[in-house]
Amino acid sequence: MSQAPLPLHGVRVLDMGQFWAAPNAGRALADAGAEVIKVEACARPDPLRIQARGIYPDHVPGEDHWNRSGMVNERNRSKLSLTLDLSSERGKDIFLRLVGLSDVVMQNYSSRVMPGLGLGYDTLSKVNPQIIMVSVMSQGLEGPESEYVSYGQNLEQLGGISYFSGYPDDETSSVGFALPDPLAGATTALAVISALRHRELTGRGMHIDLSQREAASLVIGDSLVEYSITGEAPARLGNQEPGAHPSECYPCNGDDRWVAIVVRNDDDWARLCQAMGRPDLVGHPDFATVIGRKRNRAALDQLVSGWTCQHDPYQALALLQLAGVPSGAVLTPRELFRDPHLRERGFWERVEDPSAGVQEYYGRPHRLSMTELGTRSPTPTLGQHNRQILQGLLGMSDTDIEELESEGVIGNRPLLGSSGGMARGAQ
Amino acid sequence: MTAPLDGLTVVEVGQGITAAYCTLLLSSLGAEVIKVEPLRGDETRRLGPFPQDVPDRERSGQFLALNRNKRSIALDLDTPTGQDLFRSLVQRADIVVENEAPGRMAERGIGYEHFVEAQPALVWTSITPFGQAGEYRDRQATEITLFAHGGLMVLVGDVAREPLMFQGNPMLHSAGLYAFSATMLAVHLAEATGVGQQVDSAILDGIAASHFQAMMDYEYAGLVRRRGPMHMPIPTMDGFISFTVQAHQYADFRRLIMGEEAGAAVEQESAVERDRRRAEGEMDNEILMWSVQQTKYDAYHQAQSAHVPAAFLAGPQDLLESPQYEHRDFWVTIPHPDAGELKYPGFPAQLTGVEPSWSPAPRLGEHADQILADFAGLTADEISDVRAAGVIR
Amino acid sequence: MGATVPPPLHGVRVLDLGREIAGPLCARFLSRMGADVIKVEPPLGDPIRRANSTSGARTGESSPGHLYANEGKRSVVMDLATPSGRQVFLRLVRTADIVIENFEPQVLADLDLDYPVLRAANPGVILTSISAYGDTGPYRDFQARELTLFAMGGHMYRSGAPDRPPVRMGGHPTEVLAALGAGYATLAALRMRAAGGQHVTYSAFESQVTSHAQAMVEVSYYGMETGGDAPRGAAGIRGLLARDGLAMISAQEQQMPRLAALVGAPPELGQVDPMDRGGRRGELMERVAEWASQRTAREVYELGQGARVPASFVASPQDLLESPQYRHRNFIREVEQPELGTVAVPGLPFKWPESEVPERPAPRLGEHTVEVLESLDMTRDQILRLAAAGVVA
Repeated sequence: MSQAPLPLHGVRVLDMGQFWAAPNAGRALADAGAEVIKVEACARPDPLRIQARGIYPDHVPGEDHWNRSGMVNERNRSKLSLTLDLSSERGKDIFLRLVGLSDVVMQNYSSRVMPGLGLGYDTLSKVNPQIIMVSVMSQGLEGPESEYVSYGQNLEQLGGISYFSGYPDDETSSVGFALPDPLAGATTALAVISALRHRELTGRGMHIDLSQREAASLVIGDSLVEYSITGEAPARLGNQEPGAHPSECYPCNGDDRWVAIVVRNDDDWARLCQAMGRPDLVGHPDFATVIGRKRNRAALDQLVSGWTCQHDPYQALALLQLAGVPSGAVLTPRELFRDPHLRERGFWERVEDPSAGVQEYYGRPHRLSMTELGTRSPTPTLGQHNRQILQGLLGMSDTDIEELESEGVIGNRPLLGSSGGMARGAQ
Repeated sequence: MTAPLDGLTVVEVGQGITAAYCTLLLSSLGAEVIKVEPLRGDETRRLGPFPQDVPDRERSGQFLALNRNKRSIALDLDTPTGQDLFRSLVQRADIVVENEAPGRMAERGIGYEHFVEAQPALVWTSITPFGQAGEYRDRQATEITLFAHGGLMVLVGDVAREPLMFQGNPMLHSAGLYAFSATMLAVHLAEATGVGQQVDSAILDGIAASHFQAMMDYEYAGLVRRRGPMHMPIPTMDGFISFTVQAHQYADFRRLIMGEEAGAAVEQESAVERDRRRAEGEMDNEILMWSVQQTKYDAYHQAQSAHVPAAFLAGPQDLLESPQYEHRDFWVTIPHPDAGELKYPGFPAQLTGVEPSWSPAPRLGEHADQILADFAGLTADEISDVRAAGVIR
Repeated sequence: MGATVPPPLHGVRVLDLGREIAGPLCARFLSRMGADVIKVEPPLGDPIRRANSTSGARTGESSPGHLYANEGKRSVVMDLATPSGRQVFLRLVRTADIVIENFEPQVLADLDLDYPVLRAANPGVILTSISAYGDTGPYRDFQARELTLFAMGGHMYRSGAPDRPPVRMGGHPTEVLAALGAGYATLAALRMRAAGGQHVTYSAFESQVTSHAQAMVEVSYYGMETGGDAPRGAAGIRGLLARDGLAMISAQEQQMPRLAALVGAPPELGQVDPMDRGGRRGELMERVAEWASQRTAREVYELGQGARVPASFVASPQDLLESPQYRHRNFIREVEQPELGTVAVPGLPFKWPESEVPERPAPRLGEHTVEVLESLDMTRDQILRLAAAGVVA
């Protein structure tokens, strides 16, 4: 089947990302056709390769556990792997030569690392004035808090998401997983692809300074606007959608099973009555209007949960959606894994990992009609493409490569020295 | 000064002109009018005229003129919540004026019959093209079709050409005026007896009532009136003037335009001779010779000084600058936040001790929050919810 | 200031058919990158204009959500359900590079404006359709809201206290993630423009599933028996209870010594065997909790960061608007919004060093209808007629 060339065909990315956000963006670019080279140092590999609480096939880390980490293999698909000791002069030299041949450098070290290695944007842009460098920072490259470090959960707090999350009367419960990482990943991909267009227009490279905390704040942007207008802190609403009564999770048949229902307006109420098999309630004076449903919320909740608890979540969902009521079952990861909708859409991708075996990873939420943006190759093992890259791109000889290997500039297993080891600092 | 209708609350569900004009008159005499608009707004908001011809629902001249003095809430009457809120408005009202299709309010559970039991004194004025019942009740109509249907159109224009209509929607305005009168009467009765009613005001009735002469000709003599030859207006230096010179004014008028001698000459003539001159259009030529040397104002004043009913064809500027209107304080100047200061017609009659009051037309839904708080007792929070649910805007 | 160079999306025209958050925000991102974004709204406007603010503040049709998601755009009102509205829209499509929509999947087809129709009008146009579940599959037509997508997407099953219903994340997590992802996919399609336009579809449900990767990886790596699921409440309290609110310290193994020193714990508590998940780590965390409880959340943040330990506090809107870091980066810009005054609006979380995108406040409904239609060579007269018919406004 002939396809249009992939959108990022011909774009080369040096992806120094670690953990989640930046590698995720690298994967998006790789899926779209970019040649993404994941650059790690053996002494300093992606911390997820070697973290204590890693996810390994059937809990077995195995001989080369750094190639078997699920968290790495999930988000580094379609890339090439190069190891490079950037603290060595030869490593730096090779890196800069690659920069000269590349379009994008992505990194999410803390703000001092790259300049400390002598690989700040100034250096890179001298080598390649058209290079696009993306620094995926906790809070940006400059400013009073730019050196602060954080993980996703911290950013959820600092970005203002936590302030609005949880029950109206209790903010302490844990809510969801760390969303700032995927948010920052999506933001990074967007930033890179826009910078590429910018370069096409102007012929200029640039250094993109990205703040993950700000990316988190996008989730609550309207509340910031609101505060600036009213001077009052907007309320934490729990499951309440403004104006919708009810808007809540209702218990289903089963242990800790739930279905979320949102009645936006009077029409939805009529639909809910239909779903519940209670057409007699449509015009019930207590519930027929927005105000009625709001004022009689307790009775309403009782009524609705009396119905939902007779059904399991998928059943309730089917009945509600048949009637057109906005609703969602509270699904577990296992349910999602076999969810008929995702299966039918071919969302899961079966990948044969070199060391972790056949696994299924999530695919992508976007589809382009002209071409398929999917996993092009499994996540490479550490240093898998050293030879291919150094020979193919830099024209090095076998001898050069053996030398680099013996000097420890490149390699294919982590060097876990005294200072190395487990997950390093946050981004 | 107390206005005569102070203390009366009117709920208007009006699209277009008829109901809006009716309640405009009520409001100018002191009634409080709440205009219930559909979410898209009253259709006149779309019709202009607009400043610089830029459509803007807050700057339609037609809307602004018809809806002065009122408060606006945009309410979706097709939802149970909207209907319920409407009920709470009517519960505090004395008068409802609506021009929805017959039966439409009742279908929503908010027709006159749904309120009469609890509010026996309520006056409910329904303005429709053909009335609430009868064969035509569900038919559609506009200004031009009503003008035709009511028998006026066949009478207007040159007999040799197609019939004409009037501009400016006079049928719909007069329907509002009829409805206003009937409503006042019903309010008067309700105050006297405690019993209100549904006033069934049909636009077609009013049109037929305005030109019964044609029907009389037919009934008495079997004559069918037709359009006559057009009485062409007469040009002046800067516009047109129109006369109706009657036979006995002829000499005076001739004297005026041609001098003493010409006037005296005519005085000697027999009535038969005079009619001949008129029929042959001699006088038209004489007037024309004179009029083209006059300004329309001069011609008008001279003719009137000879007691000849004459008028120049007034344009908008003439109306706005007319010393007569000014003397009667007819034009009222009202500032509007979006449209600026404009002159509007006042109340078309002067009553002793009554000073019509004027405030600008509302923006779409401008008073929703205030109205729902006052009439339905909703909290700010509840109002927000109603808005988010799309029932108001 | 140095000379500015054109922003990345200079010369790109986007038609935003979006409503509420996901579609409009996606288009907003593009407008912040310099695209000319025309928001095409139905006669009642994007419902987000009336979405109520969580504080119940009265902002009329300028809800905070509207100001946030539609900043920088022009607004054109067109009733796409009318034949003329559809035609005018197709004329506009001929001038556009990108159309973004987030209707339910069947809506554009029902309007006869789905991708083949747009393509026929403009073979180069990119249509980006953001929907809850994508344009295929058994859930395609499911009705969804932020809450229900958060539930379906897999974040919710572990959210909240074990003895209460699950509770969702605040704000618009599913919509914002979709807006970002769809923006990326759209610009990817734009890079393929030489080969023509195409249809980009985006499923917010799927982007949710990608956003909690760990659990999904577990299912694959551990198998359906044990992978992924964990009881609700297992994550416990999401932070440290400081004196005045919540804070958090997420130290990893190599940061433990610094953390121990920070809270004044004996050094041996900071020496943690990386593979030992219990033991002394728990002891240290107790000391940390004790330490935090005697300080404000902000102190925990500042002191923790001073010791180079990932610490945070729950920032309120006020904290964010006043944040020295946000101010330094000018992330939250002050925009002059007619009628509301100065409003703070978050921008993009990344910067181009050289390009400036002009500030433009969120538009009033239909503010630019005439301007845009005239650019399509329509006359004022045609526009007025369409407006009177309710096709544009």
